[in-house]
Amino acid sequence: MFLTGLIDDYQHDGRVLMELIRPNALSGDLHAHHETLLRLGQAYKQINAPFGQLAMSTLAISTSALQSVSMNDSTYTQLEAQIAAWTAQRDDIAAQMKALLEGAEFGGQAIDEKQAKSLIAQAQSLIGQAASLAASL
Amino acid sequence: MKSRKRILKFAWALLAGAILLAVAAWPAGARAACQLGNGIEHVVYVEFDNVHFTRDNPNVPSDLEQMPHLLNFLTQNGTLDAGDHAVLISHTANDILTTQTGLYSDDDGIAVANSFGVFDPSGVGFPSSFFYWTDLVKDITPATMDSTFALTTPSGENVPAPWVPFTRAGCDVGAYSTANIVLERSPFDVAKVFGNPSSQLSESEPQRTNDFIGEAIHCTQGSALCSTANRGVTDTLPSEPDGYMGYQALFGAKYIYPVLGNPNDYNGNPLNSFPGFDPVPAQTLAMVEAMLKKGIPVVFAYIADAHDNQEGHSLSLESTFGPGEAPYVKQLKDYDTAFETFFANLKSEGIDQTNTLFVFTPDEGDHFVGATPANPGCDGVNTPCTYPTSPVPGVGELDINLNGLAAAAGDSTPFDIHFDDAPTVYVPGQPLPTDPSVRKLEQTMAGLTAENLHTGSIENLMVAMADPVEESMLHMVTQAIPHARRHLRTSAIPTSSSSRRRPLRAPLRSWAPASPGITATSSPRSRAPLSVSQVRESTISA
Repeated sequence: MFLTGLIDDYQHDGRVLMELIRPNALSGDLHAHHETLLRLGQAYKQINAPFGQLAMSTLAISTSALQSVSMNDSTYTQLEAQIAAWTAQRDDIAAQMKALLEGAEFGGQAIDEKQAKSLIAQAQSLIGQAASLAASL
Repeated sequence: MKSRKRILKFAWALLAGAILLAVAAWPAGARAACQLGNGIEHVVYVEFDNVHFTRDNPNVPSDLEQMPHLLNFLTQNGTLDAGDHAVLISHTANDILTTQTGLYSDDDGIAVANSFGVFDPSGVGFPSSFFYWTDLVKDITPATMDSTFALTTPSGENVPAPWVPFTRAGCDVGAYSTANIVLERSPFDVAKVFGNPSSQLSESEPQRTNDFIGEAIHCTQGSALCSTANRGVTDTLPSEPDGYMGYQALFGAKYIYPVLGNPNDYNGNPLNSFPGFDPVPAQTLAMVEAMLKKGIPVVFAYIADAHDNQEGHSLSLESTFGPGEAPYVKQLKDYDTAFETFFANLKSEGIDQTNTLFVFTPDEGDHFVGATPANPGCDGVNTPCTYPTSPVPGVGELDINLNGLAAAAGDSTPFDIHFDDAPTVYVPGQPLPTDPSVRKLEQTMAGLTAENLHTGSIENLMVAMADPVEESMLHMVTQAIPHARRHLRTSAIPTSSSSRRRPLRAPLRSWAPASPGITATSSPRSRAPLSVSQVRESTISA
């Protein structure tokens, strides 16, 4: 859709694959912020995609939760609560990332470098937390 | 069951883009008004089911390697992306929907395919995931009495249609055999667009299906192609953002075939009747070519996988193939010949990489999970591979009675499943995920093991499990369909992209054998989809 120059009347869950587009083929702001857009898009993918790093960790945690047998099902309850909390955080971070990406890719908006880098850091933190818990189970 | 079949090890997205300007001799029509960017005059978007870029057997060239005219076109003119993954659960219908829209399943309503479970008054129903874009759940399965759009946004609106940006830009959009943007089901899809009563609906089967299912042209405003004289009808999208009025569409071969000038497929057979949802390239590419030549600048189409027998008994008595089997190699050769013809014919009309955005993309993401060849040194091309026929067929799916295994393990909780290698479990009565009966069932399933009949080894059935909490993380919870609550997603698959074989599959719900155990079939389903996968991330392909 990006290549055709058209715009959907809704916000995508996907992103433009900046990896496949030569930076010098991009227009003004996209070219200027190419590196940040690339990193933002990749971080977005890792926290939002079903096969991203975050989901792979939480899937392992989910598996442990569902197979667990504990007093009052406390293990299941705790692990599920943690996944739910991370999902809420993920949804919030991903929504902001998506707005930045779509605004830059389809809306002609200059990307806020500071906000983008903050979101990338938040995503990496979330990924790290989930990976740590998954590794401990 | 409609079999736009399941897929491969590494899903791949192939994008051959063209950003150069060129002028071609074109018939007058919609093309003159079609406004696309970057010098693109045409878009060819082909969903290629289950085609493999990587090798299932290191000695046997992959599907793409055996189709050099397609592979070379892509690598020489565009970009080959082998890092693509499909959505969860990875299956034809929802994968195609995702690639068409750029939306995860929780934003389009179809998280489970190729049918999805819905609680209805009689228990659990499984409407097909193949239907027309504007169908309600109750259109597909009246017993659900569910008036939600089957393709629903989280707020309950119909998902925006993928052809709309193009038609609004003045481009007619053709569609052939691809999911949900053509009429899929008779009679209710025929009734939806032509009305009830209507002459079209009054046709008998299979003529009605042959005439109206599987192909469509969604026209821009004022396009002569979809005129009333050509039997165009209103292209109704009831909740498209900003409305969608004044557009018409043609549905079905009966009306499209004459409009396109009575085209033949590449084997010389007239395309005057829809051949079904497993078209080979000689059919699909011929139709794409015919549409492009008619001045339809944007075409979405589908090609059936090459690892099942699409050519019938003239090719083989087998219904599905293992890597390197002679009929498989022959079929790929035929596929490649069609691609050679396609690219040559288009080029002769001035349609090529200089002015056309070509996208070839797979759905699902399966890999071969059958037996080792009986002649392990085979390479398919010079030495055909053969597969053992006993104690179980080396090619074809292995099914297991999940209900029976659970019962044998002491858990009598009734449940229904969506038939798949990552079966979705539904417990009648919709108890909460925390209900003791559901928790016990999860614990029981977590401990199930079964013999891999290909290797003789005992394997854990469940590799990964998710209930609605994790399913939300995986974009699998559809907020707008209240009756679609699932209790458990089990996965008999690895959670990485490893090539570990995964031959065990769950049975088809109530049709499962009464006793626990694994049954082998020769049905064309030897390739299990990667169910833990990710959405196509590219909005350029949506």
